[in-house]
Amino acid sequence: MKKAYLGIDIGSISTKGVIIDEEKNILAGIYLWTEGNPMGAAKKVIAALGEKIDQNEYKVVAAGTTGSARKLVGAMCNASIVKNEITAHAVGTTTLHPDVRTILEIGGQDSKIICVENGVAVDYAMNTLCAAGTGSFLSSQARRLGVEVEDFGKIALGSKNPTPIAARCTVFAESDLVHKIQMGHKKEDIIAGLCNAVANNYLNNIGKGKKILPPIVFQGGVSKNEGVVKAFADSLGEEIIVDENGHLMGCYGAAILALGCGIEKPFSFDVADMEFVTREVVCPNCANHCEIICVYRDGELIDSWGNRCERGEIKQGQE
Amino acid sequence: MPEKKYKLCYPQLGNYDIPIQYFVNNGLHLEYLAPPAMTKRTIELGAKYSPDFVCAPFKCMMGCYIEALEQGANVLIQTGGTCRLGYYGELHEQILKDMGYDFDMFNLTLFRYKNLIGMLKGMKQFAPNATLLQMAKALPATARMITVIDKVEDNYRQNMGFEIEKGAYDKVYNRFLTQLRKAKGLRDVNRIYKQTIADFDAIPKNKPEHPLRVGVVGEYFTIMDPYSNHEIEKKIAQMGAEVHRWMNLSNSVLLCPDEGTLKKLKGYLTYDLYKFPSSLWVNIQKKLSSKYTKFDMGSSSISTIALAEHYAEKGFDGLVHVKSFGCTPEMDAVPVLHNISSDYKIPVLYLNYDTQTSDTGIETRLEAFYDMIAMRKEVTES
Repeated sequence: MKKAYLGIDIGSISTKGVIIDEEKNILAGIYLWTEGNPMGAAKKVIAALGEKIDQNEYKVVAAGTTGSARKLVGAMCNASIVKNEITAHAVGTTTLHPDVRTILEIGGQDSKIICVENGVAVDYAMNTLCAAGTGSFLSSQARRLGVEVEDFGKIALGSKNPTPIAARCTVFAESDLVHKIQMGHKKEDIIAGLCNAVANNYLNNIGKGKKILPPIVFQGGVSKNEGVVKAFADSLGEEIIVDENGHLMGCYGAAILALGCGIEKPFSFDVADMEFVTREVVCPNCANHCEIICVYRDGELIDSWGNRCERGEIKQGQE
Repeated sequence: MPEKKYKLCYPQLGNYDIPIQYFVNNGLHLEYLAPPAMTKRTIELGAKYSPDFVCAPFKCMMGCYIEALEQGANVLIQTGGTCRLGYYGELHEQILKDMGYDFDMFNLTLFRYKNLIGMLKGMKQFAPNATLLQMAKALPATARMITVIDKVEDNYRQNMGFEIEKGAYDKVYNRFLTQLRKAKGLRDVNRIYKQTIADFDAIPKNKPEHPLRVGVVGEYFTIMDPYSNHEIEKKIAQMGAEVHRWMNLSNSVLLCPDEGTLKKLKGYLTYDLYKFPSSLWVNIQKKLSSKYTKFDMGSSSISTIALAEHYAEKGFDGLVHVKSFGCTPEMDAVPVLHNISSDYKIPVLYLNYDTQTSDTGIETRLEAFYDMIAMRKEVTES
């Protein structure tokens, strides 16, 4: 039986999973919506991946999790490694594109830039305190305009005269957008304008002070939007590479990290059928009121976190 | 008229309440009420009664004042500043008086004391019975406490990441703080310091010859108060790095960085309290960083630049820049840090703080930053 490695990336909007073999080839991949239920989405991902591979030929020996719910799902599937999404993306992308110099990433709630030199990340930036210009902004504007966000790119490419939209801040952008709609601008021009706004906002905020050198790889959910890809290509004057597996880069990185960490932990596809419950406990010991999250598998406490000091520690077998 | 019983209070800033308390008790013979350790409640209270767009330190101080007033403090100390902080004393006073609290404000900005002697004189307002001699007598131990705290914390930050038994450094460090609180004079302070350093050295460590080194620079209050910066120094150190931070009370206020004795003397004599809370030695640092900057942008901006360059020159693996959201002097320093970052090829992590209380975002960024510099070091060394 051959060894395989599982990687799951549980983001705010979507959950992604891959299984790779020892040569880092992707055996199976899946992408679905988180829908505010990270554990449910992770279960679905695990179940779907289990069906896609031949379980008689491959055995998953280590799992890695990343994304904003990495800790929760890491506890759930007994992960060998739980890593932040920046490291996971850098590792995943540099494996598939060893010569990459700049990674642009726009996800549902966050956006980041990673500068790479000789295959290692040397600098990165991530949005702080503000989620302007991310995927969720585009989705909400799509709803306002009555189009599917998946069609945004195609419509944007049809525009000859993109409407300029103030991009500094999502709230300002939105009121500017409403104004332009009521003024009578064409829908495709507005959508193209929005795509440009997202690219400009990104370059001005996240890309500030960074040298953006080619080859440039663009990934994250928004990279599936051709309008934004074109906006980046136009303003940077460089070719933008969008990998067909770009949306899986985070979980691919997590799987590679699981492969590289050397820790093998038993993993079973049965977790998809087990019952996981979380419970929030507010620590009463001081005015910090730490919110401690306890995770239970079939009624048994498997992990807890959230306490700032040892007074709030909740251990296995203790209530 | 019966004499009013004063209870002094200065907002929480790291562990500096220990020397301040010592000075108030022994130099002024007054009671000192250290504000309770900051918690979520402090921040919530402070944010509730502060203008929304003011910087986070104002809100933290506000919360500290309110909690101290609740416990019976009646003289609040506020220092001046070369940024917006210069106006904070009046603003704090006005808001707290509007809330109905009865207290006196000891606002160093308004008193316009030019130097230390002037400040000691000003303190007589609240301590009519204290003599200048008493105050001068309490000064050496107070100053020593400050330098000792900073030295112990430097050692702690630079070594705790390599301890073999988890929590060993914390144990010694907490014991140090408890003992220092009980210190009666200079001799006690020296003894506690010696003991603590010896205890630190005795902790078994697994420290590589060339460990990862991270320099922390940034805004005066946020950098010095672990609660405000979500204990980032400890978090980075625990991942396995030496964390260096120049900015502390000893370096910015007490110890003149000039080498020559005469120059040092001149530095002390021309000590200008108006410049607080930026480093009092701002001119020396301006000269050091003249390649990047000509003018003082106020507060700790010059120190940030000078130290960032210093760490970069020393070959550090990364820099972390902390500031409260909207801090103008530090915002001005950011473009300079971009230049230092590209000139010396050193990555800089920029962290902005407001009154958010969640650690998750900060942890993600710190962890990614650590992974990045660790992987980079591995590749460049092999």
